[in-house]
Amino acid sequence: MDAYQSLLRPVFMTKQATPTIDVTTCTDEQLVALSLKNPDMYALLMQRFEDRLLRYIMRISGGTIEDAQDILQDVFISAYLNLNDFDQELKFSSWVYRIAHNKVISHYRKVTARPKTTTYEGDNELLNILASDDDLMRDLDKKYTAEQVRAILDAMDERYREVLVLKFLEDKDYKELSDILQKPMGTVATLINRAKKQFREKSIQFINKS
Amino acid sequence: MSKVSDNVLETIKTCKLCPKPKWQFLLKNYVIWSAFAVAVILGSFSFSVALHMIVTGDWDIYEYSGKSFFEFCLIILPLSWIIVLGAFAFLAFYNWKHTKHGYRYRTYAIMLLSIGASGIFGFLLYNAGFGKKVDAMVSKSLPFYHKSKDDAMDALWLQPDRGLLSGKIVEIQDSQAIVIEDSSGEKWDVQITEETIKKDCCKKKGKSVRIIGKKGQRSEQQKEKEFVAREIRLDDGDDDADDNAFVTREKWQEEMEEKEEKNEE
Repeated sequence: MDAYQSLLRPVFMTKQATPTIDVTTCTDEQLVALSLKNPDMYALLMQRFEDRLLRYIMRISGGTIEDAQDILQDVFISAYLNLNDFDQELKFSSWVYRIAHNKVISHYRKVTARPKTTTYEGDNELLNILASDDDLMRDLDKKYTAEQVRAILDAMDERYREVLVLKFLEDKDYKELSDILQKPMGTVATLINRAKKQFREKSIQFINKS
Repeated sequence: MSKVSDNVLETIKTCKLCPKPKWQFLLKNYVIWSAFAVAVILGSFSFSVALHMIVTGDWDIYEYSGKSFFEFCLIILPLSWIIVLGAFAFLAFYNWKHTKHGYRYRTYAIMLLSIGASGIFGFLLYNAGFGKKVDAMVSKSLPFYHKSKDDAMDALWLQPDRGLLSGKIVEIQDSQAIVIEDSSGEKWDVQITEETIKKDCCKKKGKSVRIIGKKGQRSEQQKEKEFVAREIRLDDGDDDADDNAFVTREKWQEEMEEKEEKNEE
């Protein structure tokens, strides 16, 4: 039998070379499929989204960085548990941003005091971005600091603030906004228009105060 | 790796967390879609009943009713079924919104879709006779519904001074007279003349009828009040109505004549 096996071994029992996957070139959606088989792959997904999600959470909620990191941890755990519910028709970024959006809302519903928001580099550019996008904004003085822009955003309605952050600071398009906020695209367009109007009104109030 | 990623990975491994199985999400989707379909189907039945009641409603007696058009509509229109239809439309909308891509559609579009779907299927059900059957079934099962229909009927038809009367046939005296008892227990001696229009054929004891005519004078000897009938209608929703027992006017007259002959003998 040993002789028989030793004859057959080269033909039938040769170990085939395991194909190697270059995970750095995988799309987010491919990494989702790999993470379902191997949790260590999920670490790569987290690395890709950690910074921008943390920034997004800080921008729409404020609070301490520790609070934001706690929320981010919840977001990643929730995303992992629901990986099989990931809809391949969506971008993974839209899906994970949606989870982050929902977690922030549910977290801050429990907190009665309104937290202060945090500034990030580039926030002062918001006015320029808005101005290039809309005639309404062109006549506003664009020399605001990031803190001033944040103060204006702070004074805004939560829904409008969030949609401005997603559209102009997180650079999401209408479809992504629709998928993140789970609203029809028409509603998203209306929200953006109202947000810009409110931003303009708050800016003028800010100018008059100062 | 950062602190957050490390913590998450450690939590996953320590707590042995696993992604929820796909079948759970599939099952949830199937349940939501099924609930949507059920809401549309039940809405269709409501639509068919409402349509049946609107079509068979006594719209032509508005001029006799002495009520404003708004009051008249409140009595005639099947408001409870319209509310039920609205409730099922809302339920369908709620379930649609919770489907995977339901959020992509505007509220009015989803409501129109669910009411439209209920309307189309409801129309087909009405044509197949389900509107009347469901109405009769609900009347038998829910006493308060039956009572509310009777109360609405009385509000409209129990106005003898205006020439409107409704009640159950308690006695058939001859071919020209029947006695009916209204909902308040009052008995009426209804005179049938040559000019009387009998819309849905004729009389068997126990049938509910609605009569347009004129209140007569009551003499001291008469126990019952008098009413001269110009038109008699069978109550479509009469629970005791035996469709197979309908007789034509000619047959009814023959039976009355035979009865009179037997009495004479």
